[in-house]
Amino acid sequence: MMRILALGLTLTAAPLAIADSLPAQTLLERMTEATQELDYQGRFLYQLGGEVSTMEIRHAVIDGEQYQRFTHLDGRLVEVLRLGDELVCLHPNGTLTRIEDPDQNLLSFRQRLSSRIPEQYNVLVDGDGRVAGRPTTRMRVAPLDNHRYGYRLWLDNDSHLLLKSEMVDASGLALERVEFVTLDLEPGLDESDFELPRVIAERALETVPASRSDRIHLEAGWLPRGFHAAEGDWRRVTAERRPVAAQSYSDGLATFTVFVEPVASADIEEGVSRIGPTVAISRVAAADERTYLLTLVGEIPQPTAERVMEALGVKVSTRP
Amino acid sequence: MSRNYEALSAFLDGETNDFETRRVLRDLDRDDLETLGRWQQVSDVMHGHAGMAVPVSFNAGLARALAAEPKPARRSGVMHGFARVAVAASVAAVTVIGWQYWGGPADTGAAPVVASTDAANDGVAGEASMTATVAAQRLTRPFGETSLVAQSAQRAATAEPRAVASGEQPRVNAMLLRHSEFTARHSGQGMMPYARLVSMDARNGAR
Repeated sequence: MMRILALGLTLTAAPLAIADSLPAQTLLERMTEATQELDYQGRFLYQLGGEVSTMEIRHAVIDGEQYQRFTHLDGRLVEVLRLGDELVCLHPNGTLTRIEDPDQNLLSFRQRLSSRIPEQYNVLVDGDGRVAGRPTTRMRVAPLDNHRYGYRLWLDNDSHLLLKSEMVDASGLALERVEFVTLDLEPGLDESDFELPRVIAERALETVPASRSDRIHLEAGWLPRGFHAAEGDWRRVTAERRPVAAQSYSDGLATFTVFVEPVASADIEEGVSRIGPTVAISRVAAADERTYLLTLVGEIPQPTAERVMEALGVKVSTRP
Repeated sequence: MSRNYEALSAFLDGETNDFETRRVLRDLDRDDLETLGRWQQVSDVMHGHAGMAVPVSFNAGLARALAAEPKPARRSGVMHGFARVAVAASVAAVTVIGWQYWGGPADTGAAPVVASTDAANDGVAGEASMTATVAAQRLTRPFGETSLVAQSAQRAATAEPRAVASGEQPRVNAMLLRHSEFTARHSGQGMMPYARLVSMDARNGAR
């Protein structure tokens, strides 16, 4: 039904659209390529509900590696840098956290998306627009059930970069928005533009060898259709805390991650918190006479997240 | 340099039409972005988000933000002091009203993304759909508040929101970091995950 409706909308919108009327699939492929391969620098508004942050982004490919830098321009300085395989987050208190991810063998979902749109969504081109003074093509990504959010996308007609993006709930309410106000496609960036600032302290989310982590297994009793376990690891904050296992799930667009950590007692606050599209749920679970805290963090509707959590089980395999 | 603060204020109030909105966005420069940020800070304070945005000295923070605010164009004399408060108050309202305007009918004239639940789900789909509607209503609260609240997981419908223990924050941050890293690499969300991470970290830092 929804697909027929969407098709109808596509046909109705066609006369309005876009000079060369590229199909949605091709546009998404070009967007993916542009995001990864182009050098660009710009400023954008990031809106979470009524709150507006202003940020700057720089992106460059240097010696085949992707460099990306997000800088929070108002309030306190926060930066996130992707330097090849490493992600660095500079916190407002002047400290820094690193995550290294050497495992690049997995075909990313983003690459898969560009080859095939997940069947839980309808994607359609629904007109044109203008963002940051540039003509754009507007697209809609509409979910076919209530277990994931939808998107509205504005792609630059010239470079195919994503200039504006909204994540919307089932009622069409935007939960967050990214919108460029300036864009420079010839920024002349080099490695010096991605140098780390001086910090007062550094920590890393280290991976822990599998031999220590293979005893805990998450069992998802229920997942929304189309979601698959994508990636799991086991990390700890250097010398500060015990390792925390993580297992991520994705349908190709939406993602959530479940964290499992052993806790001393069940006297821990369980609860739900939410900001914009991101929901976080904590629940205590017992397995093998131990207590574990499960925390789900993800951009899925809260009822779906709660249902996933209710059906999650922790299994502890016996030590060989 | 003279700046059109009235246009900026109207933009934040959601009182600009499509043409004016595009013009404001087109003309935004670094100073305007900083002004938006300062007004947002004032808005947080006025809106009762002091615990999030200005943790220590609520009144001092408000006073500083107001003092730093340039005089709005074409408002003077007796109106001066009043106008400054009016600017702050209107921005405060904007955290909700402006958003409804931006995210509302203007953009959603076509089919809302309400999905059919028949084939994709099992028998609980109807119930999930109902809950989703309720959840969507809850989402209309200002996000500044939701960032601080947790609800009891005990399924009690009347459970009052309560604050998350602040000591838990670093753990949540590490999780957000790991989740964002995964999401950025494996979802089709583009730059959203990192922008989200930066924004959340900035909020936490402001507490």
